[in-house]
Amino acid sequence: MHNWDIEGLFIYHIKEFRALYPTLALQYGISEPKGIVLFVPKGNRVDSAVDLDHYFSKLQDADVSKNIIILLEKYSYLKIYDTIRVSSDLSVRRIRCFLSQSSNLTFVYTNHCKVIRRYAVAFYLKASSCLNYFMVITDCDTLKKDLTVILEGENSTAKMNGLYLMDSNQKFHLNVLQKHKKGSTVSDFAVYGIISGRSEVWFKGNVVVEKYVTEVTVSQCNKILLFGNESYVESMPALEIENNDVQCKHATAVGQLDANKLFYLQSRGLSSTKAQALLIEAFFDSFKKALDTRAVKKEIIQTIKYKMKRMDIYE
Amino acid sequence: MSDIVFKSKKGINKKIVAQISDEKNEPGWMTDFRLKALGFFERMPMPNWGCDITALDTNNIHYYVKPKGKQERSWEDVPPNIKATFEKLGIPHAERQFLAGVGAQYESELIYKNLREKWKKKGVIFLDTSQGLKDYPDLFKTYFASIVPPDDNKFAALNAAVWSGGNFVVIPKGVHIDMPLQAYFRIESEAMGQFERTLIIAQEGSFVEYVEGCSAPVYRHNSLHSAVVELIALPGSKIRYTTIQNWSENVYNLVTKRAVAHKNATVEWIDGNFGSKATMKYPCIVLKEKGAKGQIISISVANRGQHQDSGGKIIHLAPDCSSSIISKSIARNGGRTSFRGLLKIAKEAQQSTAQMKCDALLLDAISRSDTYPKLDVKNKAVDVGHEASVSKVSDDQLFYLQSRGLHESQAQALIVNGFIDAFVNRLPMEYAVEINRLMASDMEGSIG
Repeated sequence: MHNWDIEGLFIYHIKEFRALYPTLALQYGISEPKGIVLFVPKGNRVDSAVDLDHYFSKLQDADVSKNIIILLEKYSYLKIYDTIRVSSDLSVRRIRCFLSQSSNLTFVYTNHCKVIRRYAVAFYLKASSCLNYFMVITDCDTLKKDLTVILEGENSTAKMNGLYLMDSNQKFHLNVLQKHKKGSTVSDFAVYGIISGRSEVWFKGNVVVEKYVTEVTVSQCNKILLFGNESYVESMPALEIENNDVQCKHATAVGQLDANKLFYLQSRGLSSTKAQALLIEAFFDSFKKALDTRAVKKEIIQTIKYKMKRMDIYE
Repeated sequence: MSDIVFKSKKGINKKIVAQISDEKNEPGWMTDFRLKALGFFERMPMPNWGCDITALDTNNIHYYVKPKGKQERSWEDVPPNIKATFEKLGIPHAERQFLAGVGAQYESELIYKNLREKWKKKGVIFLDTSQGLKDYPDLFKTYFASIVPPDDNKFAALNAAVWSGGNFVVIPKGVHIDMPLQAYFRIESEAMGQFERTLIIAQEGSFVEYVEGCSAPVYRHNSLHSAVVELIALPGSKIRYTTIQNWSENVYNLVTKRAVAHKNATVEWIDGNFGSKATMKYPCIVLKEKGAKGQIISISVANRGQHQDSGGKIIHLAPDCSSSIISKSIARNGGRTSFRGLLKIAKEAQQSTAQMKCDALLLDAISRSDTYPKLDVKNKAVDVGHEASVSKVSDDQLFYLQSRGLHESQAQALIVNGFIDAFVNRLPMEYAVEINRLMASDMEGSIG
């Protein structure tokens, strides 16, 4: 077991975890040869946020950080920051999170690393569990990101918000799956993108509501501001609904800043650059408001501002 | 059947294709075209997405059935038994009351056609496609298969090989036809395929509205309807093409419809899918030149055993174009509706506005709705959006209407009629009345 000095949180190598908790390992299908298990036992509330990058950088074998299993037992609470920093040489990461009954997880993922190519995270929510997920991507070369949320227990809730800023030649594939297997569940996904230069974005979203699953509320939203003459966006949100007692919706919008609003602000004395900056801030204001984790919010907003200065979007 | 003069053997091969061309007395280039298309059809695989068409046996279909009776100009001259079928469907009555011209297709041929005298004097052409080929060979050859080539997809290839019937319509420059042209298609024989090919050319500044309906009785064996429709809207013109499809539940309805809109032209597809066992149909508009506009309004209703896989595609190739796709679907008794939409904005299509909206109503817990939209954007100076929703009939709305004295099924029928209002509003009045009646009788008993 690793000692990360975080009260309430236990960290094991996968092999170690399988030896200590064979039943749990079997129940959650933990069979990877290498990796880390973050385990929060029943009723534990981990008040300190866990910065994965801070702890993984101390490990001798960096490969173990490619596979991460997060297990929250009943009534437990955990906050995770997975920040892939500029200096990181991580190319792939796969995370599976299991939230037991009435557990609560806040997960903030930020990517500033160009090296990483594949990042897949899947959440499995049991009854009355709650997930708050945030994603900010400011740098990558070519990144494929998979986000999967399976609501397996009644009354579970998943709220997911994301922001990506792409410029120059960046390529970003985002695949999102929201699958409802039990009734009285809610999932809400909203992502905002600002694209300039020659960057390209592919978004593939899927919402699935299985047969006999009732009282489900789902929404999926993808909004993109395009600034580059050579930029490209492909968006394919899909709905597959097999029950009528649902409220499901999705939306995609692609465009540029509203010329009328720009003119209005400039007619009030703002420069063109300031007017654009104001409208862009308004564009992802919903994301900022949803980001309620104060500790990381400041850092994220600074990162966003820094990235936007480097992007060629102001006329 | 006594009213059939020729029926090809089941299955398709070079001999049958050549036989069809020979029966129609076609020029050599058309025979070669058909045979080349047959090659494409034989080489292309069946689609592995959309409706389940594994039970469709293309070797068990009669590809050409010619009824007794040549094309008639007056309704009184049409053979009595064929006349009876169309009278039941209200065709001559419609022609008298509302419509500018009527063509009725029975099996593979056009039997009855009439065009109001004043449109004829203005040079409007409304012929069956084979007659159009004979009377206007140069014009026909210029535009035929220019938008849907024979290798476009497997069923377009099949249509190109065995097409028969359909209409050839040309509206001269500046002519506005203020009453709709109508066509009606019916499959009467069992295990029969209908492969009409319609070509409409609206010349500069003209306007035409074209309405088609289709039906078939219920048989044990499956039938196939695989039509191709090509619309060419030249600069400043407008074409509105309305389809009310009510095929019986043994018909596979696999159709390719595509339009090209030139400078400042407008094309509208109004598409109603109520029948068939499986429908795969995605009307397409290519906005080719500056200022073109396109709109697709589609409604699909799927009942038990039905899968309506429909939608629309709009492709912006030029600047200052605008488009919208509005789709409404209703599924009940285990039916399935799927919407597939595409909005594609090319690099040169700056200042484009495109919207796609899809709403689905599920009337019970055993039906299914899918939505598969796609936005493909290569220009930043655009405004492109999509939204979709899936839900049941609102409990609040039902309660409100019942509190005003309506029975639950009446209330539900009223709400459903409101749901499809955007589609019904675009129909000629007689069709709108029929659709409302069809929906009302369909909704009876569908509580939940």
